[in-house]
Amino acid sequence: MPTPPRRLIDLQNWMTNAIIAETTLGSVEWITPSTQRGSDDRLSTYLRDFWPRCTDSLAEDFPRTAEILDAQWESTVKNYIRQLPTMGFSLYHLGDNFPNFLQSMGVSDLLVQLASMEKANVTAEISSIHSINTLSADTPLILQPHCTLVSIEFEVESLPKLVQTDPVPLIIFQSDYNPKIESLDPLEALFLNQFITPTCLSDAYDRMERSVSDDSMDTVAEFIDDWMSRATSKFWIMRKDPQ
Amino acid sequence: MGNRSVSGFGIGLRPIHYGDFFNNPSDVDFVEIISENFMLDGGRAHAILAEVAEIVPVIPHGVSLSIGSSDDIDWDYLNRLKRLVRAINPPWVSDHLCWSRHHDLYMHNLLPVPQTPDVAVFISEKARIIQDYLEVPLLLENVSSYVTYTDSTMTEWDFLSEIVSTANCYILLDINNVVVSGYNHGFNPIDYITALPRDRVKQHHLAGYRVKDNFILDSHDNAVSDPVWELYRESIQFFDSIPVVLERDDSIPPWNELIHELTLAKKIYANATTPIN
Repeated sequence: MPTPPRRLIDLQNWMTNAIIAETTLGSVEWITPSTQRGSDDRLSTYLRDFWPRCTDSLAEDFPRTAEILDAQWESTVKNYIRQLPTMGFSLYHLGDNFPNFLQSMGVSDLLVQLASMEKANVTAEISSIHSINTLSADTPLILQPHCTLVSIEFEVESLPKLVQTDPVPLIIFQSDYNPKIESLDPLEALFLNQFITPTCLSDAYDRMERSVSDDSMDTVAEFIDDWMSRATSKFWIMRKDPQ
Repeated sequence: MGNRSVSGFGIGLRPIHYGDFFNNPSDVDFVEIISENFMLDGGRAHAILAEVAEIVPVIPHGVSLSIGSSDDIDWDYLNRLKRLVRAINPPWVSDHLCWSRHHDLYMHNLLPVPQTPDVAVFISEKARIIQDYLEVPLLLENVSSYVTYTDSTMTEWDFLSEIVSTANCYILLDINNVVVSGYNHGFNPIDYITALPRDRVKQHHLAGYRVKDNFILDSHDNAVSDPVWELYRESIQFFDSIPVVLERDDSIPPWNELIHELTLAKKIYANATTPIN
């Protein structure tokens, strides 16, 4: 990698800070005025561009969260970008840390769940789907990248009001290139949660055995047999290292 | 140049026009895509791209290479771009002569660089590394800009020419951007295009701008402006027959309207190159 000129680094340090902080301080040192515009006025064209691009892009990805935050949306986004700047080249990744940020801000759990659900929609839209091929009991498996498991405790029909309800486990995944949501029965949710980290089928079975009562163990075995027979059509789990 | 030749007139293909394109593929000679939209891991864009590339040549045009950034090259980005290049076999790839990333933070904007000899050397070296890695010619596009820097000691056209000549890469000359920056910085657009090395200019962009109170904004949200058509007419005298892309990124009109505008570009080209008996 060639060495960047010192003045280039200094200029980009200054201009990045100016844009993020929305200040024209220092513009006279770096920017030549034109016959029609002063240095600060010229810089302001870029200052006006950055934040609307961020707030609009995130509002597209988190429409219900933005609707609920309403007047606080803009300041929330600004705090988020300033504290947890995203490093992705695509605006699709701008909200990668947004649910975690909301959680750290102490907003209601229900709002964090909603934001997680909306982030899962984006993930489903842009992620790849892998074929499963053959599986054995000791094959390390993992949830496919387009799938997100969430548990929500609000009524979707009542949005934008967040009305508390019993927890409902969901999976959000890609189907025909669109995000799709399905509710999961408790056993299936328990099973799929094993594969958030790489896990062999035999280990998943053992863990599930420990999680259910003795008289449900036959049910677990039957469930896993049945689920695995349909696994290739579900595209929800995959080998840890797809071939 | 690259593996698949491109000539004639194309558009920047946006999702809103996928259906129209498949219904009327002969309306365009080729298409340009925003590279980054096809560099994600999966999704609809991947499936669409394979179908489009079966029909016409596809040129990836990026917005996040950030070649003017003082940061190191983003190798993850470049790997993804290379995968895209291998998938569609384009004649070249293009991006902007600008910076849009600093300390790994993406600004999602095309920020101009100071035009100095040492920055030209720095960017040339990066361009050579990138072009070698991609194994396909790299075209750098002149950006519209709203600031000039106190550090700058070169004209934009000398700066651009120096970089592409040193790096042995090429120019995507955006006619609209020359008009916009010419107005904003007070230079004559003709001086710009006549100073460029002719053999390095491999593609044109045409687009529309918006006039503000005391500057021009490169908005890409309306029809090609008259001064841009004028400069395009002039540019035909200086450059050989090179591919032209009509760009629209906001307030995107119906397909037929865009194709009508493309036809206008073809007419201007035909009139400018028809010998007068």
